[in-house]
Amino acid sequence: MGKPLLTVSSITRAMRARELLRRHGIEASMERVPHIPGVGCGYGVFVPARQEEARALLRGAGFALPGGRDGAR
Amino acid sequence: MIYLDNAATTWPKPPAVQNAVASALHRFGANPGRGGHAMSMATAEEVYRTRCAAADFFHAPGPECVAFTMNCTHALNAVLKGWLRPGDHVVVSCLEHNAVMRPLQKLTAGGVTVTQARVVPGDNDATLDAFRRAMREETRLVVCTHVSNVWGVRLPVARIAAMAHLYGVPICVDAAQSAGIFPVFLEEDGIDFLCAAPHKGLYAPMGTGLLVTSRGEELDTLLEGGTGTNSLSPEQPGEMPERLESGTVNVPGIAGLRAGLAFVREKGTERILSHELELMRAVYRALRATHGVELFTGEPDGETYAPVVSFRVRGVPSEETAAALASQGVAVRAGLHCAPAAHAFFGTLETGAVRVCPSAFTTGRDVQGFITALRRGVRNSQAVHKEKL
Repeated sequence: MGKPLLTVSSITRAMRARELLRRHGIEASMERVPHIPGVGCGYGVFVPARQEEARALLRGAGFALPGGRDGAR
Repeated sequence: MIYLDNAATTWPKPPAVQNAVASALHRFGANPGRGGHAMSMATAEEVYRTRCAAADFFHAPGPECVAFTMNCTHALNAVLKGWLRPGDHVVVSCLEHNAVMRPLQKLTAGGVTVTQARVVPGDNDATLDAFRRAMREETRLVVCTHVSNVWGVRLPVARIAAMAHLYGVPICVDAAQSAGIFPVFLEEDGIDFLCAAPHKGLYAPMGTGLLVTSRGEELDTLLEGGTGTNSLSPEQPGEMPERLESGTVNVPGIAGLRAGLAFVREKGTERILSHELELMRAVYRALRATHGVELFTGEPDGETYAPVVSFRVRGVPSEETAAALASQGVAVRAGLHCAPAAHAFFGTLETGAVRVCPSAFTTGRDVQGFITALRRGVRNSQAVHKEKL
């Protein structure tokens, strides 16, 4: 199983996602993702715990996650 | 030197801005949004902090609404060329800078048409009616300066935005001369595209520009290229702000911009405006009392007129007046100020005018020095021109 990393479409969105999660008390940090299959390089948010909750929060804030161009790695 | 050319760019920059730029060259020397190593990430964080600060300053919904550009002209081009299509009609004010008029001139060759709405200084109702009368069925954009870079005329952009929205038309505001002096807010003022020149009233270094919008994803792109993400795709990313930021951004400038925003926030736009108005009222009154000086606008009051004054000395070319001041250590700007439309409106297209503009750093002593130098220069120039006659 890979590292619990939520990939988003840009570095700005990765930073915004990280801040949103931290505001809600969820540990999160931004990381470079060297290769996202079918996309290329990008950035993601490392969420060591409570990933499903993080995913729901981000979706609620309008972040596109798995199912679109963004996804989990 | 007495520097009164702050409408072109503010000088000096606050020490915090100078330090931020110097520090950025050392601390943020890697390319942001490209690598994953510590300095690249640290640089990206600094860019993001500035994005957040700018979004906060202009009351934009979020940092993704802030695109860094080379300058305000670049931001305006991005909107005009990214939004308009052949057959579209645009309404502009009669006071626009060439940063608006030249791209529109180019677009007219492709079938875009333009109507200038006549501004009535001091009568916002009449100005608004002029914009309304200029609207057509095929109007797709209203472009409006917030403050004339020559005359300081302040336009009621929020009211113009509300009117344009009644027709379903977005508005692009050129806030080059107003940001940092007057409040200008994306959401409250109903602005769709806000273009700013941070090196002016936000005290950032030159080579910085801002396009603030929550509609950036609807713009076609001027530039395409590397964004550090979605690299496999040959298509330009659709998301803001990367969509409008191909290539490496001006990191030292952006770091300086953050310090400039903090400077303006700390001082307060109201305090800066009040300080500059006091100085420009003194300039205005002294000019009015100087024989041979022609004024074209009312006294700067902050409502109709921003703290900038342009004048002419009867019988003396404006460039000559500016040169006479420069020889005495006073820096002002003469000519057409890249805004022939604004000069045509006030009847100074043939002669140009001399523009005086202060900053937060200008003092009463500077103003006195300018007045003394001008009166001396006027006497000498008029004597020379009288002899020629």
